[in-house]
Amino acid sequence: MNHFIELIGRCIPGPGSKAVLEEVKSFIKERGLFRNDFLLQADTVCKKISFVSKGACIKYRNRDGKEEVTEFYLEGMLTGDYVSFIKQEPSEHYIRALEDSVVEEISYTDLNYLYSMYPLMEQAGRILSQQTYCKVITRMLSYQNDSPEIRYQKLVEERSILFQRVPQYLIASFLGVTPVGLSKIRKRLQDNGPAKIG
Amino acid sequence: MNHFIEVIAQFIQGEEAVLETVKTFIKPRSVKKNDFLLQAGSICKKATFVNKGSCYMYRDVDGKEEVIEFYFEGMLNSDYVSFIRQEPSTQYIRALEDMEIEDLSYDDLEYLYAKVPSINRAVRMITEGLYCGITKRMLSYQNDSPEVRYQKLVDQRPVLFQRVPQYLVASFLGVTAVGLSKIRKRIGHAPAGH
Repeated sequence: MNHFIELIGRCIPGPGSKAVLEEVKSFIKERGLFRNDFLLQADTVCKKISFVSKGACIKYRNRDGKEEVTEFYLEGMLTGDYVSFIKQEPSEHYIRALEDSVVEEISYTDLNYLYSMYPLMEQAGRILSQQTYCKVITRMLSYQNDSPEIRYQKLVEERSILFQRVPQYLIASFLGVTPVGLSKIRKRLQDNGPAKIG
Repeated sequence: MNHFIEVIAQFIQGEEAVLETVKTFIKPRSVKKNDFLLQAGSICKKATFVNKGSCYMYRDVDGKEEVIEFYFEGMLNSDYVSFIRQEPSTQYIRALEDMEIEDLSYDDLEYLYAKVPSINRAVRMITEGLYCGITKRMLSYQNDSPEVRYQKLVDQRPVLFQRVPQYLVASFLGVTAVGLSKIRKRIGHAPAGH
């Protein structure tokens, strides 16, 4: 999937959606980001949902001077601080380009306009929110119950691309361990074989 | 909020006819303490609102119960992932007390999406609310120490300590029952109700 509109189109596959999608398309704006540019700064309200059509971004919080990585976004993913976007409250997160990137954006105001104009957009919004929910709860359960070893293994199996495109220390932070902790996990797994994934 | 329809009504204002239609699909029922609302291996076919009583959701991992959530009056419960995807659940939901609940089935909801499209808006907004809650919890599990998680629970959901056995609260926090006792001792006070 290379474009935001395709992601929306998938949620409303019927023949009646063509005209709606054309209309929605006119509200999606493309822009380029250089590596290290910010897509979102902490203490500002997230006013756009962005689709990564090229490149990669990282989301993190800064707590007591420590960067806590909360997500990586690669091609085909939606990015933004969805909580800040939903509530239109200031975010505590930063989103920054890890590589030169291209994003496609739709603003909060435009999205709500589209919701109010087109019942099919309400359907797309409902389905996208449900898909996003499924992803976040899967991760939440993993943080709640899985050991760091198992979280690491799941990441290797499910998102191996991260290990090619993201620095180690950021992956460690994402897993909720120190870089030294991550090295130890890798060594243990090499010595003892994989842990059982429940 | 005492009824399922009120949760939906928040997001569909001024559409009484829609609400009347939705209402006819919401079915009340009673559940006895220890009864299951959902069993692992089966598909979650209903979204349920708790009118009275409480229940909890857990997974069984190698014989160990991992508590995922507690639900009290006014809350919706289901394995929402299983419900959305109509795939078998890995979770159990069981009544901690005798309960009165209201169910809305997946099939009826699908029918309603087609029949009264504004129900999409209500479900999106309910889902967004759930998303915000889960994200907050995820960030807490990712970055907070068990002490901080415990303190947040005491501050934000003190009712848990009054209505739920200790060992289940410990599991919810991702610590052992002994671990929870140690945290309380370190922090040096017991929560209200103990």
